[in-house]
Amino acid sequence: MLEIIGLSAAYGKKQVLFDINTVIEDGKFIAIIGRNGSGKSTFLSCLASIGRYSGKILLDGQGISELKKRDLAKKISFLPQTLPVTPFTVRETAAFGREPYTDLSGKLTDEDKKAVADALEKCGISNLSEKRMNEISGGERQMAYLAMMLAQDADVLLLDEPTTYMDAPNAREFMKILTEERNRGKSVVAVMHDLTQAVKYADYILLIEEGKAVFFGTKEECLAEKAIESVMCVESHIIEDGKIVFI
Amino acid sequence: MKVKGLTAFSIFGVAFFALCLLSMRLGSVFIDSKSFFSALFMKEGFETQSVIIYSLRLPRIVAGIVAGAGLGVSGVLLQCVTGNKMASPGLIGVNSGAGFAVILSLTVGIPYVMLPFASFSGAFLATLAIIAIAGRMGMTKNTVVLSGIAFSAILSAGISLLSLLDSDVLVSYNAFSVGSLAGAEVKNLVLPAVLVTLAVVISCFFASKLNILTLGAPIASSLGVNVRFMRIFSMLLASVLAGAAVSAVGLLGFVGLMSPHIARALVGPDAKKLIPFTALVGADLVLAADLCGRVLFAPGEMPVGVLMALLGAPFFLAILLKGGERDA
Repeated sequence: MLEIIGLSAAYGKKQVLFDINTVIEDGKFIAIIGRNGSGKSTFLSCLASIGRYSGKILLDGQGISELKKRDLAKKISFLPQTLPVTPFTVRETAAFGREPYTDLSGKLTDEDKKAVADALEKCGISNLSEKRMNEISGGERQMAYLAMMLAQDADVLLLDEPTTYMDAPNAREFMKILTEERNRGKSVVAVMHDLTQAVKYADYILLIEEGKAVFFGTKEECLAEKAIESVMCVESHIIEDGKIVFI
Repeated sequence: MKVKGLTAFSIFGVAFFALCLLSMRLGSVFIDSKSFFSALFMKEGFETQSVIIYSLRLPRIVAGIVAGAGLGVSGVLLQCVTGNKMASPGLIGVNSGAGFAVILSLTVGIPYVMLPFASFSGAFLATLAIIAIAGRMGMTKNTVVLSGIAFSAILSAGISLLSLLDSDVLVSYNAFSVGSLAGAEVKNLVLPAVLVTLAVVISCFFASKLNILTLGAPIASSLGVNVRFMRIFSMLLASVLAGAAVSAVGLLGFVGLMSPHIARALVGPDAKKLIPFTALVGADLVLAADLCGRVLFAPGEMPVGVLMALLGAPFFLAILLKGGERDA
């Protein structure tokens, strides 16, 4: 369980996040929604212990800033919005996920190799294993980094707009894998720009507006209160089978 | 290791031994096969050849290996730290720091024998200054590059100023700035050789962390790598490597840039293979350039630094153009 208590953050003198308090339970999918510049990515960086912040972030009762980097990496994984295009192969990239478990030499054990193979299989990119990251499409690259994240096998998965550059079928597959991870008891926290997708997959919605958490609740509560509509200046429409789209 | 990597290691390994052998035999004085082996075992009647091999050519070979391996691996480390393929030891003030320290030493009249120490100290202190400046700005990839450029520019201005004050100093400085293996002495090579060997071995130990560093700070950090420590540590290692090389042979351009590029093209980006292979490629390049400079211009010789620039610059442009076509 991730407890966020009085979280604030600033870039220089500019305050970006203001006193955010929330709890992220195990085995839940939380979508973070907000307009550009509202502080969503900063919030995620703080959870990943990358950005500077004040307040407390507790993981199972222990402050994440008190944990050693390697120990934290076994519990929280993070995928930023912009992913590098490297000349490493897809397998090598997925294997980076085992870094917190390897010794200084970085040599993979049989267990590590199995975790990498399983992650590639789960993401459906085993056939691309020996391809270089700069030779595959953006969507495939995104999947390779997801495989890295799965190989890392952390309890909390943080993702910043993970499906931005993906086509609809790949984005659906990506979200399906995240949902499976959620079902395995992992917490998934994702900044999402696709509101329809967010409402479809997430259990909880966190709405951030100008650095403040203006709503946190189940998606049903969110829809009932028309919170997304208010913050994102959109209208919701119910189409066939009760599905909701935002325009 | 795949066949491609093994083949590359084998070819460059064989080339290394061939270059060492040829460097001992060829030059302004040619040593034939029979004399060579007799001189190598210091047999009677081959004293002159023995002196040529042990006093002149072997130190040159050691200096070439130290310079090539040191500058090459330094380039790999800096390219990983900055995520910039154009990064080379000059970026962290090695050239300008060593150059400034040498010209300052010449100006104040420090004994000539102290120049290698001065150049190493200058290179290392310049790197420390750049780390301190970049550290105050968050130690990101960009702050490292920008503070390196700014601080190097200040030191270069200092070099120009001191060279204007005394023309004799300028002549001596030019000999240092062109980079040459001539006049290499074993007693001056022990410390650089030990430093380069240690730094290359330590770099190999941290290869997996360096690989992850190329993914950028957010991902590297979330994978448990202490990014700030790794950046500072890698820069210090790079400075020791390049500083030791510069103290042995003077300022030698292009090796720190070319060797990692050639190595990466042959064995891929994995630092576990890239670091040792770059050391081999760098040593081969410097030894080959020195050999050409001695054989083609015998009985005189062309300094290795000039030849590296003459051959290196067009070669590097070709790599850039090829890369540009692929990126387009």
